[in-house]
Amino acid sequence: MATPAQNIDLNKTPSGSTLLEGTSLWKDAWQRLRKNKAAVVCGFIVLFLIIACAIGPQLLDWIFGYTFEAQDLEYGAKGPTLAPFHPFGTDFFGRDLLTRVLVGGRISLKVGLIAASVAAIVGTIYGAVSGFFGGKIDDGMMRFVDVLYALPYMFLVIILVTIFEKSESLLFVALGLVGWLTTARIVRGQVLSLKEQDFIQAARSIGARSHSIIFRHLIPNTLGPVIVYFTLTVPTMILQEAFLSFLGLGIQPPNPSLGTLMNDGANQMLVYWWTIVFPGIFMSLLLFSLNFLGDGVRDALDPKMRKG
Amino acid sequence: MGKILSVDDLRIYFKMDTNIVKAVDGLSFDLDEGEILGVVGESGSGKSVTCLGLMDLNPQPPAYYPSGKIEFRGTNIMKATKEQLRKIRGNEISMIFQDPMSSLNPFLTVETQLCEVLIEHEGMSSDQARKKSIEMLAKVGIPSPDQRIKQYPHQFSGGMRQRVMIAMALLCRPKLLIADEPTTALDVTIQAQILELMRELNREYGTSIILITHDLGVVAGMSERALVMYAGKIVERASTKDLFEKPQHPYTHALLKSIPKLTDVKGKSLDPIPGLPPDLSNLPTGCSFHPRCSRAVEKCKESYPEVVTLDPTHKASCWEVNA
Repeated sequence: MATPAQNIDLNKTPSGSTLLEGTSLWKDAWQRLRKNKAAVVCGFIVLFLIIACAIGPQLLDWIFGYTFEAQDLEYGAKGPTLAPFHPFGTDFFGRDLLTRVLVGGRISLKVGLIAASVAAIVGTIYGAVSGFFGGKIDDGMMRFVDVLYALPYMFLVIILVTIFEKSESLLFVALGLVGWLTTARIVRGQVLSLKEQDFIQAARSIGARSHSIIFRHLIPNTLGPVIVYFTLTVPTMILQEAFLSFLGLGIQPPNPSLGTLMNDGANQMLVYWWTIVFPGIFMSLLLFSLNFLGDGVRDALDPKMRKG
Repeated sequence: MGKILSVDDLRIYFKMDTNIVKAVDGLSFDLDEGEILGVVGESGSGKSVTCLGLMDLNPQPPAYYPSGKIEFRGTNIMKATKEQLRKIRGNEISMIFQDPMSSLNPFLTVETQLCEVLIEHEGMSSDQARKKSIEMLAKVGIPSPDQRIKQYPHQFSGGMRQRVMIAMALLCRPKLLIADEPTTALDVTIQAQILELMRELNREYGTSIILITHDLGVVAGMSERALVMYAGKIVERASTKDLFEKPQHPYTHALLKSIPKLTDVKGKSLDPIPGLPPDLSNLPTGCSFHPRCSRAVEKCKESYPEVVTLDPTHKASCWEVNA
């Protein structure tokens, strides 16, 4: 049924007040992300794992008195049981594996998030500056990136580890050192094409300063690819950390990380299968969810997916 | 009325890998305060490079200026420091770009973009800037500007974005407004509104306007004086009335002839100018227009014609024109 004409209030804006609310491109992307069921589910899994890692070890300590280093040599390595409460079993020293996995996950997440954030921030600023100024500055800055790219990464890490004391912060440095290179290249490429656009010319024509053009006009427009790359870097960094720890170059015992736990588990897996299965499942679940979430974010920010 | 801008022998070349593109080649003109000057020409005749050049906005390299002087209210733009330029841009000279769809930053609200100008040049607080921006949006005819200002550019139509651009250009009451084909991307009804708006602002604030266009109709309705550009040079300058009533240069003739008229017989084909604008890196010898000119003689291939003064306001560069 058609609405009778006399019911239309001519003084009102055609689509009512909802039209007048500013929706940014970010909000649009967020709405698209929320419609992606797989990404939402994985987002919740990631959130659950993060919360579990954040408060789980504390709870286990309060309730059962477990810590990641408290040994119970008499109890020894036993499979998963609910009474006594060891759902993931215990390791060779009688340490509760659930506690160790959660603490290890905490360290892995911390390394992944911090290293990826450092890579994103440093890479974005470096790439934007390089692309914006162009010419000789750009040449110099990008050759420096090429040189770092060419260095054998493992070799560099091993040297760093031998020179300095093995520590968590050294791990951040080692991972951060290579992480920002790709971000810098992505952002530089974006900036090179963006700076020819009319709105940058327009910003110049109103007398905007260089830093305001870089930080207000260029960088926000490159954030889409940067965020996508960030979400996909986090799992890569976690994997790298696990790899380094597996080689014995990362987190040192008794501190657990997902990498060292799996290293221990791999040594004993024929006898104590649970020492590799549970850390393995935990890590796979974490990486799988992070990757899916990253894919969802990429789809949400992809301008070609934008409708109307 | 005093001069606000004087351009003398301006040359803007672009250095390419193997050759030099002479985009603007020896341009001279003056602009009075409160005047609207039309600049007409085909695509590639150097109009846009000229207007970017007036604010020193051409990317250097590849652009460079072999000669020329741009004097704006006593300041030589080409010798000005970065800081001086920054103070002139947006404050005393501002510019409206051709394509309103891509001239606003899609990630910032209109408010942020408008206020940026005021905070930068007038040192206003953000509250003052917002108030002034809302006033200006209302002035250019945006309905419910106090709510609209919070929106993002993609929520505006093309015509409205161009209004926002004009509002932005006028926030600091510039002495000179450079409009680079401001209506080309808009449909005819919006075009008329935008032009009317510019005319109003010219009357009200005495803003001088350089109106760049390839639409002769726009020039006829807006400006008192017009320049016709071809291949980086001014080939004819005259009052708009003279230009339309007694065009002297064959190029101006051809441009006017190529406009379809309502009185044309049905089925009459259009009269385009034969050929294409010349390659600016490899200009023909003599007069650059001679390969396309119906009145070209031997002499035109040999040397560039001198300026013929028909009367103080009407000058043309052509061997076939007699004073």
